[in-house]
Amino acid sequence: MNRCSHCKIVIYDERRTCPFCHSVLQDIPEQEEAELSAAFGEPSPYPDLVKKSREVRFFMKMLLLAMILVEIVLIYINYFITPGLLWSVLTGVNLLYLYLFLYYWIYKDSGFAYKIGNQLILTMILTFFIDYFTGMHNWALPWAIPGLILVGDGLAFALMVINRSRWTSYLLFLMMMLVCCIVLLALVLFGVIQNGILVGITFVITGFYLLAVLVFGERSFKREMKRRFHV
Amino acid sequence: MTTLNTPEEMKTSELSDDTKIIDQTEATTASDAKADQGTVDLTGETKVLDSPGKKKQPKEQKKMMPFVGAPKWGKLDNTAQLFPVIANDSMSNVYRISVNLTEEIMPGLLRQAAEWLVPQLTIFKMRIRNGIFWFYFEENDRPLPPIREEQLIPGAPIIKQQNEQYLFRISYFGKRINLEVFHALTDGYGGIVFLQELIYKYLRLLHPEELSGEKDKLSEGLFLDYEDSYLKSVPSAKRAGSPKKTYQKGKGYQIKGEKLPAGEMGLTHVNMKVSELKEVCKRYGVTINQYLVSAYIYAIDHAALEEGKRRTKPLRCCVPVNLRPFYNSHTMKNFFVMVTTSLEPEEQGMEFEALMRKSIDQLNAQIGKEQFDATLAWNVNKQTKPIHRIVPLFIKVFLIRQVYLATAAATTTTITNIGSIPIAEPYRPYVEKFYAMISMSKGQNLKAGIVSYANTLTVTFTSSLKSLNVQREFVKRLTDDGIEVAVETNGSYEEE
Repeated sequence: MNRCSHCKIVIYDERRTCPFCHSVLQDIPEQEEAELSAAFGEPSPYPDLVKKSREVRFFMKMLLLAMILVEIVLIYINYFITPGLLWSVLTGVNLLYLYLFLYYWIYKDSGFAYKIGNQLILTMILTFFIDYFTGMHNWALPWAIPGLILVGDGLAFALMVINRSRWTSYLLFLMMMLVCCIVLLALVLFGVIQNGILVGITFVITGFYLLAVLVFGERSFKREMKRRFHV
Repeated sequence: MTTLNTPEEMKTSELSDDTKIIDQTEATTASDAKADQGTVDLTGETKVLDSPGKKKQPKEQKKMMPFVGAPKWGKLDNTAQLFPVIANDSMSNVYRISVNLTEEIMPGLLRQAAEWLVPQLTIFKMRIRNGIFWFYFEENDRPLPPIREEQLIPGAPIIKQQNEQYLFRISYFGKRINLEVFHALTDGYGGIVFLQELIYKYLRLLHPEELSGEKDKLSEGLFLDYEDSYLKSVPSAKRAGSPKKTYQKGKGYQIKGEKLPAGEMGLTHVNMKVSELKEVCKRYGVTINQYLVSAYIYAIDHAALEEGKRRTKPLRCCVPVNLRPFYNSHTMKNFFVMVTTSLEPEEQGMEFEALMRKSIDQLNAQIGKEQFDATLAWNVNKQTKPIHRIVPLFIKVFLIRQVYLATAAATTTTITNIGSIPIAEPYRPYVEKFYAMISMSKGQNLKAGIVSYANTLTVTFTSSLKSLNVQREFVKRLTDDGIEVAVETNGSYEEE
């Protein structure tokens, strides 16, 4: 405990100078220190905090730098070897997606269902655009996106089994998969998707899965829906 | 919402539109029954508790579960809706109340105390979930997260995934216990109640013989009330139509300067004797709160002058007001509004006494049931309008964030006074001092929290700036008035 004779205040911290005026502090006699402690309480020091977040931030910065470097090399190769086909744009988009994916998983404070749901939707959009920009060979809508929905069903099942006591947490995620199926089915009906085999299979599997959940978990299902949809 | 005083009341009282409260002991029994038979609904409606005797609870567990209301899920209160939307790394919306005891903290006993307390103060047993239209609270059935020695900056964001989904954090360091609470859960009132009961239980565990005369239960007279007082306090007639908006518009003066390294926050505790402060306030003819708020505004204004800055925007200081006494509420959820003082650019350099009179007049003009009614009606109207209610949550989040960012620029700073903490007589010898601090928010690089206990009042400045000019001016104001001051910091401010 010290005293700043300039500011006329007592300083609890173990420091040489006053934090306000930077003048060198005066020692306080022991007896007076005891009196001050009795009046204002004992000093309450703080730990020297180590910031774990700095390590994570450093890793993310390094990763970003590495990805930019890789993309520059790819653009260079693309320019000199296959100048007619801009495949390096696709690799760039994919690297960006990968970085955002990692950033989202590390920094976003949400549950697994929410993260996986968002990730799947983004992946569906990405696959559609890759297909679109590479000549629209119609592989995304009839095959890749239904495939991703099936992956989503599988993940929902696995998460419900692993986290049985909180299985209702994944209901909304499952419903979102069904909505995606319905959208794809509508595209089949309107003739946008020519081959609807996998879309049909995906719709049946997802719909049946949700129906089974509804039948076996009727009360919990209702409760979860009531909470989630309250207005 | 009736206040829950007896077990009978607790079993039947309505919590909100569609959530009821059940007796905690029965809730546990109901859980067991469900596990056995799959028949008991544990939703908020809480209906069937038909065969409690089929599975006996261990005696010890029964002892740990007194009669306390336990909502299984519920809506966030009117103010709480904002916090999950705007919370991020740099704006945690977490406040901290700390207590210094007279002995080193025993972490094992502290955990025992928390495990005993949390199931009883059920608002702290909640987690936040995303609905399609709103966020909502749901009972968290996970175990409490570990109680660790302090290793995060004060008011650091509470990462739900790393905190077992709980919305509060308890830590300790030396003789200090820290309680950090995400504001969506409750305001300072709820935080104080929790910390008080935690201290009592901890001390009963630590000193069983000395405190053998104290009953091992929550304090008598404590209200375990979880209503949304915002909704209850505004009659539906007043909500209807388009109540007048009462918030500040236009940009306010911002305290700027070189910042501390990312992720760090500077704390400055200014301790003073309540008796000396009272004397000074008596001399000026003002209350302690009025004096300290005015001294703070004066310090910001003079620090700007010292730095050679001519303000071109009004200096606006927000002061939260606890609404419970005005509406006879005892809710554990948030129930406060902000009132604002404003010092125009042409008033820069105003004498302290004149500034104080002006600030007091401004605050008094906004404090009163009639004025609060208008603010609450506007807030509640926005929440209850059918067209607003059916907007999907992700759109609400986007819109609320934009509105918040636009309005945040209107405020310079916030100072909150959580008042004098009453500690029951048998526990007082073990309790030394309290601290209250609020985290940074958009555009507000400096904030202050006030709390007092016994004859010591502590003002804690939280800052993301390297400069201590405002704190220095504040201390100077106090010492010029003859108040003896003791200062301590958290070590964020380097020596020259």
